[in-house]
Amino acid sequence: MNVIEVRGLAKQYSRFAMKDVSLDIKQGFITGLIGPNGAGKSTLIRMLMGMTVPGAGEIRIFGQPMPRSEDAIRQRIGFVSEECNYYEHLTIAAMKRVIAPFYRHWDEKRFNEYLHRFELHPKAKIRSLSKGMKMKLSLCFALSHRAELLIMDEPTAGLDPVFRRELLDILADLMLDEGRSILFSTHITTDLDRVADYIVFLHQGKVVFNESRERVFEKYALVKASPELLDRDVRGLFVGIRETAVGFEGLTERRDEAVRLFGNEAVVERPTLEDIMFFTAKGGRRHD
Amino acid sequence: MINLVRKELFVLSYYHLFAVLYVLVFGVFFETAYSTVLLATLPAMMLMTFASNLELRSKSELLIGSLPVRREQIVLAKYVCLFYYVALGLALGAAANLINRYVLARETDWSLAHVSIGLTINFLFFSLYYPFYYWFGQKGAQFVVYVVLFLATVTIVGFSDVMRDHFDGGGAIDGGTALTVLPPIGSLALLLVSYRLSVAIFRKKDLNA
Repeated sequence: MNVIEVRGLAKQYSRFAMKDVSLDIKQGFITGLIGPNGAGKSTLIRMLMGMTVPGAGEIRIFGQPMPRSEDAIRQRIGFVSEECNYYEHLTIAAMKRVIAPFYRHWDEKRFNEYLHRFELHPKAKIRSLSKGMKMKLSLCFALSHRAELLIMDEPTAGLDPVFRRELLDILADLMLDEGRSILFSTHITTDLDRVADYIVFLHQGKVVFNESRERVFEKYALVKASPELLDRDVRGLFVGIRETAVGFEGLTERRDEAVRLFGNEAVVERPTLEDIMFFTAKGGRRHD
Repeated sequence: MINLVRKELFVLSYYHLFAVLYVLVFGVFFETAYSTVLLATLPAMMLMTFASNLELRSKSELLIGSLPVRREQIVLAKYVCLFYYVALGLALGAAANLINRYVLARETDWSLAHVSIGLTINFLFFSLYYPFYYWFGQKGAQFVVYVVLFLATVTIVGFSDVMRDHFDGGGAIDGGTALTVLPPIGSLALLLVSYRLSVAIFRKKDLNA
């Protein structure tokens, strides 16, 4: 069952276009949205949230159309944005008084528990919080109204490694305890190695793949070999190639064919998500 | 929608004091011939400008857009708050008048005509401001607000001169009650049109664009 269904989504800006994006996000799983800067991750998330108006296409969340049912849909979503747009002159407690009444299932006890866990003081002014602390506060709000779907735009940006790991543990716990769905964008791909069940890769406003993490690593391979093996036919096998004086590294999405073709003459490795992102974004540029 | 109105007024918090301070300074301590009409109009504009600036500074339109509300409700809440700003502005103006008259024993004007002009100018100002606010985005609207505030102040000063010559004894404008009552009703109708226009614009806009 899908918690989010996107069909033919498009958005045109002067320097960026998202064209015909269609994807499904599975209910009850953590889905990571990856892509280089400017790939369209935030644009997609803002369209899902109804903050950006699509040029074309259709979005359904919980089976309901967005934006026609925007208020009912957002009642069930916890949203964390990279930019924490809270009123700077208010305290955390005052900000809570602003936000809490909007949610039917606001859980005051849970909010206070998260504040305590993240070492945030209710009397602290928003303007006195660091970027990381604001992100923690944003998480407190998103996790305190029993949201069924968490949508997070770069939630780990600006966080120290200790809290980043803690956040990922919290997300994993949420999935164990309560069976929610989580969609989060990041360009720190190692975060997804720990927790993501599915990966959506966006590049230049298009979906490169939307697959389970296991399937991605089954499909892709990183080939390292000497340069003389790289003829015109072989180049066609690769999504992206990095050439140096002593050899080349190439990413292929046809692992089995690469293994058959190179045999023992090349090293065929499992790529990281970062490798996949790098080679797809850079294509076949030469690096001497 | 009630939560959005509540949010708007709660966020203003101590900024209300600036409106009170303005009324005290320009309505009581440095009272001039233009004070009465200025008091009936500018506090509401000030409060609305503060609310817009706070939203601009924190880019909180994105926060509001992530809450479980409809876009129409966001616009409606803005327009509903205007009535609060106008009512508070008129109340503060009336309070300054009472202080002048009964505490400082000064001769001052505060009549139905002043309320009528206060309502009319405020409704006209807001009718213009919000469609620009949603059309140009918050930054563009900041420029517009200063232009419109300047024009409003010039108009108010002009009104003050005209009013002194056209009051009847009962506090209405010369020409009878109709001339006192019709302008606010007309500008209220314009405000309604402005609301419909703002909703139509805001539905098609990206937040914080």
